Amino acid sequence: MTKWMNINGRRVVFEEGETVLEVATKAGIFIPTLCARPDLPSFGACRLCIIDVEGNRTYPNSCTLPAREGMVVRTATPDLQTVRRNVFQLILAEHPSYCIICKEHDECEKVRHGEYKAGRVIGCFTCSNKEICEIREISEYLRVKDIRYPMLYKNLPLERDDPFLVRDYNLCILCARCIRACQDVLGYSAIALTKRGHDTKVGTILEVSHLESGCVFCGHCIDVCPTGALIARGSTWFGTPDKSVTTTCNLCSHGCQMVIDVKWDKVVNVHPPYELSARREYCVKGRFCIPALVNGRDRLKYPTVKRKVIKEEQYPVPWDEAITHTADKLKGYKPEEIGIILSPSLTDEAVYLLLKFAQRVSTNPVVFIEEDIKNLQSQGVKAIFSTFNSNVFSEFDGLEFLILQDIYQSNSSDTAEVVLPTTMFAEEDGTKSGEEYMKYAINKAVEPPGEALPSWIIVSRLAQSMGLDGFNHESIENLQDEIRNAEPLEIPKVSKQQLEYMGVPIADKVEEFRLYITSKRAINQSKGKGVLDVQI
Amino acid sequence: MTQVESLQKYYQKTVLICKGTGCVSSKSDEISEEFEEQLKNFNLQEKIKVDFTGCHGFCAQGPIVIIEPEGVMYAQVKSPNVKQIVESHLKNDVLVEDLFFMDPKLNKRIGNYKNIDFYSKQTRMILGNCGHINPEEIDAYMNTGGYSGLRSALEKKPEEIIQIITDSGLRGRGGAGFSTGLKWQFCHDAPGSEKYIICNADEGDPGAFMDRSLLEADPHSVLEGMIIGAYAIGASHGIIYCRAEYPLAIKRFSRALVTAKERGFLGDNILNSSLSLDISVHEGAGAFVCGEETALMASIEGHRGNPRTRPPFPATSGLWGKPTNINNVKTWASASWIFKNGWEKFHGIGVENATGTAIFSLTGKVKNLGLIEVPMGTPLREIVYEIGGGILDDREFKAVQTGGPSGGCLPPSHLDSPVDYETMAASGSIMGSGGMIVLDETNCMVKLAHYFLTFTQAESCGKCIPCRIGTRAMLLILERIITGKGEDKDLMLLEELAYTVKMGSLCALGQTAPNPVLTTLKYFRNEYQSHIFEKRCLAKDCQDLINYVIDESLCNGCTICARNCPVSAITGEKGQVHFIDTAVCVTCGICHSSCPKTAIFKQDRPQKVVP
Ligand SMILES: Cc1cc2nc3c(=O)[nH]c(=O)nc-3n(C[C@H](O)[C@H](O)[C@H](O)COP(=O)(O)O)c2cc1C
Ligand code: SF4
Ligand code: SF4
Ligand code: SF4
Ligand code: SF4
Ligand code: SF4
Ligand code: FES
Ligand code: FES
Repeated sequence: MTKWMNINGRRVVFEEGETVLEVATKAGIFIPTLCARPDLPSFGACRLCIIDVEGNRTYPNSCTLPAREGMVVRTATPDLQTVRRNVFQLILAEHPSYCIICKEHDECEKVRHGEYKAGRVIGCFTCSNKEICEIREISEYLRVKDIRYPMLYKNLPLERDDPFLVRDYNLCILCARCIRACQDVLGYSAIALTKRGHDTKVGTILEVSHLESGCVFCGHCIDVCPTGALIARGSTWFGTPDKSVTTTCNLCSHGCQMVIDVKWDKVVNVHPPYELSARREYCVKGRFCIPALVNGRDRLKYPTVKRKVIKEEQYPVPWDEAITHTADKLKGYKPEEIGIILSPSLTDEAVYLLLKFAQRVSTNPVVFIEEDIKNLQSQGVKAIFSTFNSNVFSEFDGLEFLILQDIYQSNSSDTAEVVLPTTMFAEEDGTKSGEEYMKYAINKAVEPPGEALPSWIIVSRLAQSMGLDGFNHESIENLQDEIRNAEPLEIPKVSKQQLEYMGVPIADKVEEFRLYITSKRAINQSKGKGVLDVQI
Repeated sequence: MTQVESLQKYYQKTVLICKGTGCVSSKSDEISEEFEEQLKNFNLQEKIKVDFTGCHGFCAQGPIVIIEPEGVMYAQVKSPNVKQIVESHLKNDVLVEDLFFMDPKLNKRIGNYKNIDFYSKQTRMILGNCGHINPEEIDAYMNTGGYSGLRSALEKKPEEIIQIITDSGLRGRGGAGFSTGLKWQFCHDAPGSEKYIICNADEGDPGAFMDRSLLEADPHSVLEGMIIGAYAIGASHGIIYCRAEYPLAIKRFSRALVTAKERGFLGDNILNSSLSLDISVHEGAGAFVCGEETALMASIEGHRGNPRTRPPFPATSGLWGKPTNINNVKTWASASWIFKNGWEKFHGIGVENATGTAIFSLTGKVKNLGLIEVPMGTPLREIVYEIGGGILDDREFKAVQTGGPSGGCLPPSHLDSPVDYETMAASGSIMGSGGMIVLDETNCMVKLAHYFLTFTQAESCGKCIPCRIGTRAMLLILERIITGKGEDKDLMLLEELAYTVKMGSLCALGQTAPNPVLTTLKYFRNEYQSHIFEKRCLAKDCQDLINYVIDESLCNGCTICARNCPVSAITGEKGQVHFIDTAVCVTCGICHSSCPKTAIFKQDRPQKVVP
């Protein structure tokens, strides 16, 4: 039987179990909220969603109130709006809210696009949350233009005792979304409400650092926070991004969708898409390490070939020269002497092309993981084209010719004869097969450093230079068309554990990540847990 | 047969020593040992028994010793007095008048407690056993008719029991005054086979101690009520939530649980009925907000004590999501009283919409302080002037504050109002759980509002914005008013904030927190105005608005004030008139209270003229 209630004089249907807020939202009736969020259990703290229910003495929260048959509700009476406005002013009285009530607000917004560097957030113009701030939205709805109450700025110290988060609880409105996300959605309980009265705050139990509190740095708390209280460390001071690109994380094959914020052609922040359906739990690598990884100073930028002038050294060369050198030399090896090594972080297109290339030049199986590289040695392999760096190369007996296509400098990039700089996933277009055969789009967000090229282009040029046909794709679309019609190629299998570990060697380039791993290990050891118990 | 009567079979007299928390802290344990000792010395140990009781509610007069059967009460007994009592009273039958209670109103000593106004003007029903029976002996309770109510209840159907409670007119004693019968009915009717009952003994109001006192002095009366309630509702688990700061109450109630179980009043098939019940004790960490029922249940479940919005009400979804009935300590004790004495009798006491008695903790500027029990509807005047004995030093009565930090202040014009739920609410205060503070002309009402708000804002659980931030904002405004920095707009702001906090807050803590401010604004607005516009405190109670001055005609130069002043603001030669340098004085008031000549008086501080 259909159930009906009455909101603002309108009869609306509802289903058993829905809250009044949900019913109103479905019916297109706006009720301001700050603590409620559809993907979190309701809590009822901000009291902006209060409503007038016929027959009630007090104003209940619509976010926690179950709809009842025949219920008569008003959502925006003058008295409700007055109470809301006053409640909102109380929030502003604690908050660095000068920009919101500033008389020059509108003019200022036009001129000041970006944030200004300041030690801490002293107003929206220094706040990284500005573009998506829910406080600002509510202030526009309620048209609060001044604060008549005593100012109550708490002047709490900034919390930056771990590598990834910066927490300025002076901005916190205690909506407890972060706590609910951490505790109720993910089950970590790294944070909780502590203290009482006006001193109430979000914190870890016993005020230990997040590294010790059980926090796994998934960043979910940041993503649900309606204010700028929680921020990813590196993302603070770049202001409004020039663009934001939705893409797929390629540090493992979970296929996490993410938005890459770009400013001055640099990756400045990575966060989940705002659509709730695209949400999932991120790992620390994907949530916090990508900007540092992409912008890393040790990125390989130019192709090099080892030459002996005075002593044997890497020399930067034009791409054509690097390719020709490689092609000419590779042609001198027999198919059983050539090994091809596949990196897990390649796009599907690059994988396809490499496999196709391997079928033509090598009789050995294409390998994926370090243990298998050792097997190539016993097969008598003398020349290797590898798309990632491995320590195995230095112990590989009989290796005469190492071609390394990589993103970062490493020992192997010093020993390899040819080094070919390639792009990371933020710098190229393509497709990625994730778990359960889902296909995700990888979209280019920034230009690659120096002359680095997408892997598929490198392979295609090399193959063409070796005189192989079937590699003259003009564009990635061209290649994708071919893949769509081709027989599916057998991709080596990896275990789930390996899969999760995949991004670690890459993320290891990031100092914060190393710090995280080291301290987690130390903490685990001090608690008598195994060193390998570190959750990544 | 009362316990005393039964004891008299073997002993000629009984010495009842109060071992409530108040008297224990004034060393009644020592007194008790001393009595045993002295009785032996005089070889009376066979004739006279030493026993102990819980609190009489007159702790300021403690330690209290009562000699039965004559009913003589000795107040403020010190160890050295014991020998005198034993020798004179118990051996030679000569009463020790010097140790009688000194009635401050009549200015004479009274020996029999039945003749003391403080007691004789009360109607002690729920507190009837308190101070008269040994709270650790179940037989003492049963000798007063205890557990007979349970027996008769178990012969009835649950519906009949609920009807009796409804007919008695009993309303919750925990603050809100909701009909207990209805509440039991809701929980009884709620679907579900597993149900809980909870006894709320959190008692967080500053200065309130009636629940503690009752649990310490007569724990079985509360327990019996809970067992009857469990049967009526269909609950098989009970919990008493008691603050950990009440170790004695916890100890005595726990002992009551053990002995009641031994007698078959707890456990499976109680007294061969269908009722099976176990009751456990939960120690609360002592936050005021944990007394709020939803916060209390969250706290039992191991969460932070945050209130949540209702519905769902505890009656349908309470502890662990199960139907739960929660009542105050005194409510449960009233239920057992009703089954022992009949609902008609209960209904006959009090007034139409408020039956039975009200228990208050009477404090402030009255002559007699303590726990009192009066019929609902008793006029305030009777409480203040008869039981309380009037205002200290016979000063002018100014107001009475009821209901603790969530209550309000009533002016002299309300002295003849009856104390009941509706009258109190209509005047802006509440019955609350029973705090009653009497104020006189030396109390500043703005400062009083500031005092209560200091408490509530610190005790807010911090969950919802109006309460957490709003009470703090109100406090800051009050602070600037009492320090002479009030601004013209402050009254308007206070009123607006009070309304916002009241309407905007999630639970009753926030919703009632503005009451002290609202009622003082309503009845004592002139005091606010004089602070703000004239920078004067009419009661000369606000430190920043007064100066201390020495009256030259009274000062004899004893130098006491000068020696006691912490900042050396007082100068003067011995034997000469002294002088206070107001530029140095921090108005601590120490000199004022230490001057033997009362030569030091308060004066409005002259305001700096701002050009
Ligand atoms: C802030 C706050 C504190 C409270 N503290 C107590 C308390 O200490 N004891 C109590 O019995 N009720 C207290 N209450 C009332 C309870 O929520 C509840 O109404 C009561 O226990 C119900 O029992 P009753 O029906 O017997 O009065 C408090 C309520 C609020 C809002
Ligand atoms: S969170 Fe940041 S952007 Fe939002 S109101 Fe506060 S300072 Fe402004
Ligand atoms: S980063 Fe994740 S685990 Fe850490 S506090 Fe935030 S939500 Fe919890
Ligand atoms: S940190 Fe953010 S999400 Fe967490 S309580 Fe504060 S405002 Fe809410
Ligand atoms: S009104 Fe106060 S005590 Fe009640 S939920 Fe809100 S913050 Fe907590
Ligand atoms: S009020 Fe205190 S500080 Fe002032 S003179 Fe007296 S003792 Fe000294
Ligand atoms: S959205 Fe309902 S109380 Fe915050
Ligand atoms: S404790 Fe003895 S009278 Fe209260």
